[in-house]
Amino acid sequence: MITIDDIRERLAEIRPPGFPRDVVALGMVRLIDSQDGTVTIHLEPPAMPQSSLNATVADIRRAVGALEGVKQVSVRVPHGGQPQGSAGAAAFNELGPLPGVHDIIAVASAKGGVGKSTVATNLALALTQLGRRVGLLDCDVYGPSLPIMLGLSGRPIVGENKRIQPLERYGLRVMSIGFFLDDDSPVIWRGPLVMGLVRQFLKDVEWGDLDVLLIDLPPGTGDAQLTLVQQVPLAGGVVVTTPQEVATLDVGRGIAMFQQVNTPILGIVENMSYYQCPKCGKREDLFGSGGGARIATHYGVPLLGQIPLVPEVRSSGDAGKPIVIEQPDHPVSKLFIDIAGRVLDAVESERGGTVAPTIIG
Amino acid sequence: MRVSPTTIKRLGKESLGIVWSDGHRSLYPNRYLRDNCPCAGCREGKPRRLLPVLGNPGEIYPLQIAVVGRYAISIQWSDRHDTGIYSYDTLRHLCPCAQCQQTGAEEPTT
Repeated sequence: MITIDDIRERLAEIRPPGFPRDVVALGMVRLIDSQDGTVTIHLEPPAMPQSSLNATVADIRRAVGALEGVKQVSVRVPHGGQPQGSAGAAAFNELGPLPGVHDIIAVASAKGGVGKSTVATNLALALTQLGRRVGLLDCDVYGPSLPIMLGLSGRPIVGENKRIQPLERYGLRVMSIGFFLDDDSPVIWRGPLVMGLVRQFLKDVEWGDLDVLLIDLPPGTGDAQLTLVQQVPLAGGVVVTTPQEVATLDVGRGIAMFQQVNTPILGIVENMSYYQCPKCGKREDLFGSGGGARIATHYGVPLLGQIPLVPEVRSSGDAGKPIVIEQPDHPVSKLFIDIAGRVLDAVESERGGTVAPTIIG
Repeated sequence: MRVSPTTIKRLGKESLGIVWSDGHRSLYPNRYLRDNCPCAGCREGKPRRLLPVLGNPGEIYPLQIAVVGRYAISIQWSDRHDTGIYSYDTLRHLCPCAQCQQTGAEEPTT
């Protein structure tokens, strides 16, 4: 007849990976129950990676199951009290290509305030005007601006299949953290939360069939950017800058990041390139000139276009009706259409560069 | 165009084989790859682990291999260590064959 002490003794031989003491000494074992050869062990594990917990549970099953007279072993771990998987374990849930989404393009800038969201929004709308089915994902978790720029509010609904339905505007499918926040609530998030959100926006949103999913990244080279390049194979990145020296310096870092993770740079968009006086037509280079061209030459990537500083771009964005929609014949709208065409060309010419390896065995 | 693996094959519990896009073939003993884990915890800024991972040949082997984006693979090892992301550049640099070791390509920073 097997006793609780026999079982406890056996458990004292099991040490979770990475812990200096056995499960009994760690106080993990809350309750042992044994009846007619059926042993139930209730655990209360300390914080440990999911993989370690799984290994420990497997070890317990094996060890206790090997005791004479034991027919069945059941190990209970409290639900919800389960420790979070480690960041490393999360790396094993890479999403790979998203079903139904043909090309994923990131719009990035290593510096804030260069008009990245404005460019991303108008570029997305320009792509729809070229007949593409386009999704726009706002990954700027700290300062989501797409809801305002597209005049969208309201919360996305979760469908019966437990997937989040994107909102739609001007033919775009749109998702943003801004839809889930009150207007003045700050987003004070640690890296892992940002990473989780980016993953969820890719995985749990019902994007449907898209030719292009455009991703508006937050400025910098941090968690959101890294998660994105690790989770899904990007068709490429579009980098937005202003012409001035300090902006182009940071943009170099953004480009280097994409190069390190083997993601093609589709090109550079120089925003706020110049100001054209509406009265006299004189062109004024407020932020200097040639920055975008310089950096494009330096890194050997194309300059996709130069967007001038015109009040209509700002006002249309603030009014929730971006210029490509509000004034399709405006010279700037035409510039965006040109850029969209060049982006599509660049995607095609980069296609098939690096193919994911086959893993055998 | 940088070289990247076309095929990655687990060869029993002893080693891992990679066929590269330029036709080169690399054969890595699993212990060697584990010892050269590039994660921050293992490296602590040093070129490799200070102490080798204990275990006999055949005791350390990949449980799972996954592709990371378009630049790397991650390996979950049989000792449950899973934080290492091995970029293709790193893997090629680690290739133990005489030819690669002789050329001594600059170690990538990723």
